[in-house]
This record gives sequence, structure tokens and C-alpha cells, in this order.
Amino acid sequence: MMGIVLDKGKHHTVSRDDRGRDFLSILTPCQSRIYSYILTSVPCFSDADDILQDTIHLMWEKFDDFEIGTDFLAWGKRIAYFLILRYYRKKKKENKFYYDKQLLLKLGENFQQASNSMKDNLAFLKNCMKKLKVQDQKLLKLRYFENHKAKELAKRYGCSVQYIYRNISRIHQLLLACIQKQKSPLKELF
Amino acid sequence: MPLERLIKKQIMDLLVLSLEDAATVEDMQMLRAILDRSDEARDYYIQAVVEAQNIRDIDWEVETSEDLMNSSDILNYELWKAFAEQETIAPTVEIPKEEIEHEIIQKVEYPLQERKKLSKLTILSLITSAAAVLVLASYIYFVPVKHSVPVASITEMINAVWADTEKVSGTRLWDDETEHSLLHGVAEITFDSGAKVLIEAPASLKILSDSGMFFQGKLTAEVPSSAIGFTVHTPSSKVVDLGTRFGVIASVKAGTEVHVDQGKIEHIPTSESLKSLSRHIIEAGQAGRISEEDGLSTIVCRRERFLWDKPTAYETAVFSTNPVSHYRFDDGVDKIAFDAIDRTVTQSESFGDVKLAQGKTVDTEHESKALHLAGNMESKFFIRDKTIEVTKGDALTISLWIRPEQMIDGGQNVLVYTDHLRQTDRYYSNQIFLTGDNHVGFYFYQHQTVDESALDISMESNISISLNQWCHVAVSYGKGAVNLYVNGKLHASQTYQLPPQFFNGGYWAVGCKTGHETGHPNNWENLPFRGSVDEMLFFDRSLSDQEIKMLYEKAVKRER
Repeated sequence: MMGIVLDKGKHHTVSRDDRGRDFLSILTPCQSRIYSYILTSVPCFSDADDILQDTIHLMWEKFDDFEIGTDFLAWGKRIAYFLILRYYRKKKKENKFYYDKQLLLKLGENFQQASNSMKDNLAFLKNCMKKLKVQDQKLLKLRYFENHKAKELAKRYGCSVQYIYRNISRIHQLLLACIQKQKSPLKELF
Repeated sequence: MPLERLIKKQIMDLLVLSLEDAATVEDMQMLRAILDRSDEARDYYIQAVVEAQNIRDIDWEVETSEDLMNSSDILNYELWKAFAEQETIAPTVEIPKEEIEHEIIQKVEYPLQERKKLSKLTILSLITSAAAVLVLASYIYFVPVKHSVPVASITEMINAVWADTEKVSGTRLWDDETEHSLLHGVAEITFDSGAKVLIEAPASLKILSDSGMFFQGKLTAEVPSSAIGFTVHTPSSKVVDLGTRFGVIASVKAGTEVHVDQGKIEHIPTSESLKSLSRHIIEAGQAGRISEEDGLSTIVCRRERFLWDKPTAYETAVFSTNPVSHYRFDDGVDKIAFDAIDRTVTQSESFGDVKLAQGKTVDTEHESKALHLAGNMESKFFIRDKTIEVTKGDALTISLWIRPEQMIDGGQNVLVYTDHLRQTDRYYSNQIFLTGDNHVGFYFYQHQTVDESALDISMESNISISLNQWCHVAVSYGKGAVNLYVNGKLHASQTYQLPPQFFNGGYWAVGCKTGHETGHPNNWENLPFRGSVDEMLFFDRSLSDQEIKMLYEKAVKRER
């Protein structure tokens, strides 16, 4: 995920720095959720990263309008939503595929409903990762930690890029099934 | 309602491609369609997105890339292939079951049992049993159990008849290596990986995974980027797709031919006697064969021998009427015509100014070719088609499209059946012709009538057809009745006593002159046809009025 980059050149007064600290303290716990929301609507890491960056910039620009005490996450998601719409308008002009507004709204609703149940996902994921086969763990590590591109991995191992993608997909499916299994006893309690 | 496993797989496959910015427009459209459809799909998708994000953000233990790359169990090519094949049957991650603590209800004291002395035989039996159990346990532990899953679907059937079960369009096929035999017609199978194969009967196949099949017969495969690596295993070799469209003809006796239309493939010998041969990359426009007899050889790419695209409504109509021969005049060179149904090359020969001319024709939704005859005295196109001889003249239907360019006094001859010496001046029957005022006519010569009279049957349409416009002509006879149709409508009908004369080993002659001279060099009964001929079909039965109307309408309306 992208880090937070504030435009210090524009905001160098002491009061702005204080506001910046306030902003960061509220943003930090929400940033991951905002990114999840963006990634749900724009399922492409590089594009979602750009939109997150723009969202944070815009949130920072508009931070004076934000009323402390109201829902910061909802405010951030709303700003992200407009940037997502802008992104898809651009895609449409380029004749590239786009999610339509109706689907974005549906996804937004599902995202809202799923939000609470996703709190512990990271912990479950860590647990499930340990249960993966060694070679599966290594593939994920090479791809996401070492940041080797799929093409690069395919070239090194003499297989097609498609094999890499399909294996990544397979591992994702295993992990998600594992997370859901771990979550199911908790569900039953409620 | 819980989401089907296949849908989950599709969502994840498409999401991974999308996240990596590797999805095509079609991939994204498919993902959008799935998400639009159901709430459950969107829930799963959102969880998958969050999981992908979390994997990216997780704190990984530090291990150098070099260590990973060099470690002994790192994935190699073979392992990746195994992964791809096992993908859909991979077991889920094991979750330890909750240990249930059993509460002791009551402490029970059991009386001490008397010790029995074991005989040597008993001890030996016990040891043997233990060893057997150990072997069985090892087998179960070490030999992976394969769970079959559905990995492909029959997505189209055109006049298709399967041997094993009554399959329908939409039937799912499992990777359980069951043999499926297509006895008749054409079937399209779409694998979950996205690869599509169009199979022409007779053929047999076994589904091995969502990216592989064992095959004997004739097929064309279209492999999208999402399914690169799709493999067709044959008795002698395997054909590994490297992003392409290719045709395969495979049999135990003749080996495996691969003709590549687009992209490239890798052709790898697999039978014991051929394993020593090197693998072979075949690119677009090239073809290769691997056989026990010749080993690995390069052959001429014959694209026209395959059915590449799913049939149009017109083609489906043709399949449903089951012709014995179908001349499309779309591919190949002047001297070769191809049968679109069983794709057997038919001997043919042209004389004079005859060519396959480009232009919009009646049969397809795109530009294609038709047979063009200049109409000079030497123009003619002969076809020797043994499939027609099976009719013995008892019943026959001819359907074809013509586009005349000129009205010719004395008439012009479109099609005629002649003898093995091609003596069209003396021996001809089953003649379709245009009169001097462009009425469509049909003539045949009966073997011999009972009273030795009325040897000729001749009829004409009651309208004349336009110049430079495509016109559908059909003639159908059997059971003593002969009918002539123009543009799907019945125009003339007659009865006959005996079947028309059919010359053994004869030829169909397109557009040639017929008849005999009576002193003047150009005094032929019918002069050569000037114009185009296309979509010529022969049937060994008398088609009904409805069937002929359908052949006409499907071509004109170009319904899908």
C-alpha cells in the first residue's frame, strides 16, 4: 500500500503542521479501510494505489471542511468514491472497461455490510499462511514481499505467466477458505 | 445460498488477473457480469479483495530472495505444470479440529484381566497384520487421492450425437478421464480456463483438467491469454498452446498433425518410440506431423481442412439437414474444392476462366469467396465426388446459389452430371440450367421407362431471375416426384416412373456447355454459365419444402 505523502510546500505554517498531525492521527487507523474500499471498486493494485494517493491529498486539502467528531471513514470513502467515478469516466473515454455506477453502489453496500466481519481477517490470514505448503508460501513471498513481477517469475522458472497467475489464484482461494473456516465458529456465537 | 465453488474460482482467477493489471476487457466484462448477478458473489469478491490487500501488507519474515530462488524445493517447470493441472482439485488448507475435552462422569474400576499366553502362530499373525496395515496406511498417505471436479462444459452442439450419454448443451464434463465419443455432428467444449475446442465427429476425448484433454479425431482450439499452456494430448504427442488458434488431427495410426492458424504451439513427441525426437515449435501458417512412420515432419498448413468458428445460423441449418457434400468455394485454390462436412478433399479440375472470386456472398456474414465462371466456351469446373454416388439416383436434393451476369439466347448451363469421360455433349442428366429469358430449369434422363416413352423429365420456373443478384435454386426428387424451388418457393413439380440415369464414376460439371452440334460450331443445347455459383449442397434424400425454405431463409436473413 502507498504511504501518506502530504504536500509540505503548501502547508508550512505551525498551525497547519498541527492540523497535519491531527489529520494523520485520524487517518492512520482508517487508511487501510479506505484502501480496501478503493481496491474493491478498482481491482488493480497500481490504479488503486494512485487513487488512494489522490484521495489522501484531497482529504488533506478539504480537511478544514471536515467536522471533528463526525465519521471520518465515511467522509474519506465519499471522497474516494468521487475519485473512483472520475477514474472510470477517464476509462470510458479511453474505451476501456469500467464498472458502472450501479455496480459501484452495490459493491459499496456489500462492503459496508462486510466491514465489521473483516476486522480480524489479518490475524486469521497470518494463521492460515503458516498452514500453506512451503512452495506456496514462497511464491507469495516472492510476489508480494520481494515484489517480483509475475512475468519475471515465469521467465526465471521457464513456465508461462498464466501458470503463475493461476497458482496465485489457487493459493488465494485456499487462504480465503481457511479464513472463512476460522471465522465460522465466531459467527455461530452471534 | 452458498456460492458454487466454480464461481468462487472464477471470481478469484479474474480478480488476480485484474489486480495484476493483466486482465483483458473480456475478463473484466465477465467479472462484472458475475458481480452484477448475485449478492453472494459480491461478498466473496470483497473478502477476496481484502485478503489480497492483507497478503500484500503482511509482515513477512526476512528471507533473501537469493535463498528463495536457490532453495531445493523451489518450483521448477514440471512442478508448475503439475500445479496447473492440480489447481482445481487442490485440497483446502487443513484446519486443526477443536479438541473436545471429555468430562469424566464416573470413575470406573475394571477388574484386572487374566494374562493369556500368546502362541508363536498368534504372534506371527499379529506381526503380518501389522505390516499389512502399515503398508496400506503408507499407500494412503503417500499416494495422493484425486477428487474429480467438473472443469469444462459442452457449450454448443450442432447435430451432435454422443455415444456414451445423452449430453446436452450445458452438460458439465469432469476431469475424471471418462471417454466421451462424438459420433456425429459438431460440438464445442469450453474449459473453465477459457480454452475452447470445436470438435468434429467422429472423435473421442478424455478431459484431464481445465487446461488439458486427451484427444483422437479432429478439432480446432482457440486459447485466450487466460489459458495459455492448454494442452491436447494425443496417442503420439502433445500439443502445448503458447497463445494461439490451432487445428489438430490425431489418430493412433496416422499420428498427429497440427496446423497453426494464429500464434504458436509446441509439439512434443510422447510415445515411447518417438520420445527421443526433439520438441518442435510451430508458428502461424505452419504445420507439422508426428507419426510412428515418419517421425517428426513439416507439412503444408491446410487451414481449410478445419472448422474454425462456431457455425452461423445458416451453417447450423446446413448441419441439421445433413448433406453428403457441401461445396463452399471459400478456401483453397482453383483446382480443389473442399467438403465442409467431413472435410475430405474432393478431386476437381477447372478449365478456362474459372476462379474463386472474392466478394460478399450469400453464405456468410463476412466477405467470402464464390466460384466465378467467365462464360466462355471452355469454362467449366468438374467435381468427382464419390459421396454422391451412394444415392444411386434413387433420391437426391441439390441446393445452390447462383448469380447470373448475362441472359444468353438458347440458355446457359449451371450444373450437370456427366459420365466418367466427361462427355457433356452426349451424356448428361440432373441438369440445372437457365433458359434464354432467365427462367430456372431442371432436366433429367430416366434409365428406361416401362413403356419406353417419356425418357426425359424437364421443368421450368414460372418466373425469371434477375441479373447480378444472388438466387437460391433447389431441386429435390424421390419416391416418384421431382420438385423445383426458386428462392425457397416451390415453382414446378412433376412425377416420374423410374429414377434418373446416374453414370458410374461420373462427374458433376459446373457451368459447362452441354448438348451436341448440329452443323454450327456454337449450336449447343445450353451454353456455358456466366456468373457466380456458391454454397452447393448435395443430399442423398429428398428434402422437404420446409427444409429448403429454411436453407434459403437462414442464408438471406443471416440469423444467428
